[in-house]
Order: sequence, then C-alpha cells, then structure tokens
Amino acid sequence: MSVAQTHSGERASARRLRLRRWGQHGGLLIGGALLACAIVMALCAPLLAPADPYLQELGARLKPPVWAEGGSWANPLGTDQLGRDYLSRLIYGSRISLLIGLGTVAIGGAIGITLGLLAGFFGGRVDMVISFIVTARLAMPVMLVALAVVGLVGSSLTVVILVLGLLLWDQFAIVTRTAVRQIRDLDYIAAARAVGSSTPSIILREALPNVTGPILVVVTLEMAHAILLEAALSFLGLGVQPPLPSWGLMIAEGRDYIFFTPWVIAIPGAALFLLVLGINLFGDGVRDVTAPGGR
Amino acid sequence: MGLEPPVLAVENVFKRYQVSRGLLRPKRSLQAVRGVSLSVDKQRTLGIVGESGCGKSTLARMLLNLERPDEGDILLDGRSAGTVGRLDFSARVQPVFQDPYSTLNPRRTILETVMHPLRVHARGERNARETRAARLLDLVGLPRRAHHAHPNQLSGGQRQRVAIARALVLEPQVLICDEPTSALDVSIQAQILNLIQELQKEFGISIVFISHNLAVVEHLCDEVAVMYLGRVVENGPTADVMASPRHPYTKALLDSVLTPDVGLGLPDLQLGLEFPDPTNVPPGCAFHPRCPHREPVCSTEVPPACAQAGHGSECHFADRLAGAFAGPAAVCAGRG
Repeated sequence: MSVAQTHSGERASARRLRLRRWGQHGGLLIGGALLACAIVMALCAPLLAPADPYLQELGARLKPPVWAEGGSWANPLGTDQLGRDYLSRLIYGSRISLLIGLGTVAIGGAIGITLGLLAGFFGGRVDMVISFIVTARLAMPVMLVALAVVGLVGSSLTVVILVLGLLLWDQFAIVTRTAVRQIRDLDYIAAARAVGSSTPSIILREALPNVTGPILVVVTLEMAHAILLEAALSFLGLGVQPPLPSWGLMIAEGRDYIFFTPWVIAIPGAALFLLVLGINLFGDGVRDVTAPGGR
Repeated sequence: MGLEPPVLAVENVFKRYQVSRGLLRPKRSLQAVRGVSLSVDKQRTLGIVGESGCGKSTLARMLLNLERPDEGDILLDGRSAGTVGRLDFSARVQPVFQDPYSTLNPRRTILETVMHPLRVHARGERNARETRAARLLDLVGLPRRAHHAHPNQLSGGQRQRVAIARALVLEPQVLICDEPTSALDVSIQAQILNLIQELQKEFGISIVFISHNLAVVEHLCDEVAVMYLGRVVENGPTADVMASPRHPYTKALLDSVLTPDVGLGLPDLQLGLEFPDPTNVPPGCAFHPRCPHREPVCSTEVPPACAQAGHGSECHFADRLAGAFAGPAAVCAGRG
C-alpha cells in the first residue's frame, strides 16, 4: 500500500515537472496560444461570428474596419466587395486553413513517415528504391504540379487537400529516414530483437517513438507550408472556390482594391501570418520540451 | 564436460560480410568468423577474449540468433538455432550489451523496459508483470524511486543493472555478455561483475562473457577461448590457459596486461607493426606475420585446429612453446 502510494506520488511529481517545463518555454506558449485561438475560431465559428459569412449586403460594400475613419461596430473588420461581414468570413476561413493543414499533413505524413521508416530501418535495396522515389518527387515543382492537377481535375477543398497531401511527403520521408538510420544499429533495437519482438513491432515501438521529435518539427513546417500553398492556389483561382471563405481567396478577391482599401488584403494576410508563425513556434517548442536529451 | 549436452554450442561457424568500397570498385569479402567451435555447459562461464575486430561481437550476434551463420550451426540444447522459434530462442538466450547509453529505449521508463520482454512473450497479467519486473529491479540493486525514471536520469552503472534485469526477467538459460563493463568506471565495473556472478548462482544460468580484459575473464570465467582474426587460437580451462599459454598470441595478450608498477614501462610484445585485416587473411597460420616464433611452415600450412575439450592451441609449435612460455600463474601478479 505504502509502496503504491509512493509510486503514484512519483508519477504525479514527474507530471508536475513536465508541466513546469512546458510552462517555461516562451515560444511554445506563444505558438500554443496562437494555434489555440485558430482552433477555437474554427470549432466555434457559428458562435463567434457576428454575421452570416455568405450574406451579401450590396448597399454596404467595402466598409472600413472599426478603427478606421467611417468604421462601425456593426462590422468590426468592415465588409468585402460584396458587402459580406469580414470578421465572420475570417473566422470561417480559419476552418479551411486548419482543414487544409491537418488534412495535408495527415496524408503526407502517412506516406512520408512510412517510406522513411522502411528506408531507414532496412537500408540496402529498400533504401535505394525509396530514395529514388523521393528524388523523383523532389524533381517535381509542387506549385506547377498542383496547378496542373487542379486544372485538370477541377478544384474543390477535397481535391486541394489530396493534391497537397500527395505532394508534400518528401520532407517526412527524408527526415524520418535519416533519424531512423541513426538509431537502427543501437543496442536497444538489438535487445528488442533478442527479446523476440517482431520486425513491425520493433519499427513501431522502438524506432518510431524515438524519431517523433524531428517528425513533429516537419509536421508543423509542412502544415504551415500547406496552408500557404492553399492560399497561393486560391489566390490564383485554382484552390478553394468562392463563396467559401478561404484566407487566400479573400486576399485574391481583395487585390483589385489594394490601393483604395488595403485592409481587405492586410487582414487575411495578417491572420495567415499569425497562424503560420504560431504553428512553427509551437512545433519548435514541443521539440525542445519533449526531446529526451533536454530533460 | 559433464554428462549433459552443452546448453549452447557453436559448431564450425563461418560468417562473411561484403564490404563496399565505393560505387564502382568491387566489393571485398570480410571474413569475420572463420570456423569457430565452442560450447558452454550448464551453469558455467565461458570467456571469449581477443583484440578489436577479431570477430567476438559477430560471434555474440550469432549466439543471440540476431544473425545466421553462413556455414556451421548454433545449437541450443542440441537443437539448431534455426529450427528453434524466435520467441522460444529469446526466452532462453538473452544479451547484456556493452554500451549502457544505447542499450535502453530512451522513451520507456525503467519499469516498462523490464516489463517489455514479458509482454512480448505474453506472460502474466499487467499487474503480475509489474510485480515481477519490480522484483528483478530490486534484485539487481536498483532503488525503487528509479522505477518510473527514464534511462537518461540514470548513471551508466544503473543502466547496466537495468539491462541485466531485462535480460533475466524471462529466466533464460544463457546470458551473452558482450563487454558489459568496458564502458563503465573501474569502481562500477567490479560492482557489475559481482552482481553478474551472484545472479548466476541465484538463477543457475550459463554465461558467455566476451571481453578484452584478461583480468576480468580470469576472475569470472571457468573456461576461456582466445580469438584471433575470426578463429579460436587457444581454448581451455581459464587457469590452465593463463598459467601456461600454448599459443604465441595468448602469450602476447597476457604480456600486454599492464601492472601497477610504473617502473616496468610498456611491455615489448614483439608483435611488429602489422595489423590484422579480416578482408585479407594471411595464408597458413593467420597469426604468422606478427608472430615472433614463426618458421617457414607457418606461412604455408594451416596449423591443426584446437581440440574441443581440454587445453588446445592452434599452433604448429604449441608443445615447444608451452615450455618456453610457462610463467607466473596469474595475470594480475605481473608479467614474465
């Protein structure tokens, strides 16, 4: 009984220690806060948005935000060229950005991490074949291929996620392969084999948990990358289609008015910048805090 | 030795690797192990000594069934290791590796590490596994407060204790120790060696102890095999081999043990400047380019292999040299 109590006590204190370490990392906190804002915005969009993001009020087009001359609290961030409430569109737009980011990373990560684990763990011929595939993928310009495919298939949210996911796996594969190569000859892998663990179990239980640090960083980088690519595709008119409120699309729709009402571009641009910054800070922070060496 | 067959036996085992020397140059064959035969009896300790690159660790990997020999066979209780299933084999032969800093998975706690073999072998419920793992950690002398720590919070000696607990949790018959103390401080080395000896008595296991430290081997092992360039050049009861070596390489190894007496300086081993190259094994006796006693026959004819039992030596002139080599009985007592 007393032994069990001290055990649970040690576990609790270890947890407290971990929490304190998380709380002391400035970048992690800022990134986490930005990311949390975006997630809350995306999840609670119907509750937070003051108006319907699709409702057009042609009499109230291109109204300035509340801090500018002529702005009002009726539309805190003003309205766009069709008179839609900009704040509402921004809030709903976070859904698109996060969906694109997560969807792309899920597909790309699944492909890249699998290939990287196989190449790094087995080496030899497997590594040669997979490295060739990665090299072939690296030879393709992402933007051009994405444009071509979207142009051929037609554009929708699903198509954008699929295309980006199938293109953005190379970094996952490269980083995972390198990390696994560094650990595959270590004694704990040999010990697991000597204990009788099967090869899939060794790859998933011994190798993968020890390469999550670098992979996590790639997750955040690629998520940010995908969000920016979606914005670029939408800006070019080949991404998310109107009237869906994508941040990239909002920038595209506002570009005719850049000299007269610059906030139409500045507001979604700033949102995009903050989200990408937040994701990158968060990724770096998590890597710093969870790396066993940093304990 | 006894009436029972050896627990673990190596029969005329060969292992070669292909060494790549770049994209366009032909690969070379590295002969890591060239026809080794050894056996370990129940509850006995076999020492394997030799310099770096002589095939000790390759042999250890084959003894653990991590690699299959190219020729020959590893026999576990008289059955070929290839026919014993991987789980079955691992329940009976377990390793303790050299480097305490890479032997434990950094993501697992100590208790999880020791429980893991039981989980792989589906032994007992979670609580029973935890109890058993905790008991073994007590047995190897790890404090309870370290059970939920991660490996990076432990010292090298503590990690090696955990590695020993992990190896023993399945109650194996044989422990393969590949230089388990060479990465530790001298004061910790003695603790770990004594621990291994105590646990051997308690569990009744056999040990294959691979080392380049002759003093440790003399202290721990009942029998010893000296390896050079992938072959066993001398084997026999430890005391016999140490007291009256019958191979010039063993003699050189014994002479190379440094004594605490600084005044004696560094020993002159008369080994020359040639280094053994396993990709280019010399003809005849593999040791002849470095041997101070070589004669013309040594570079042309392979000497007869060591006898399996008793004190054997793979040298053309074993009998003649044995008389000349007879010197001090113990390694630690000084050199002749």
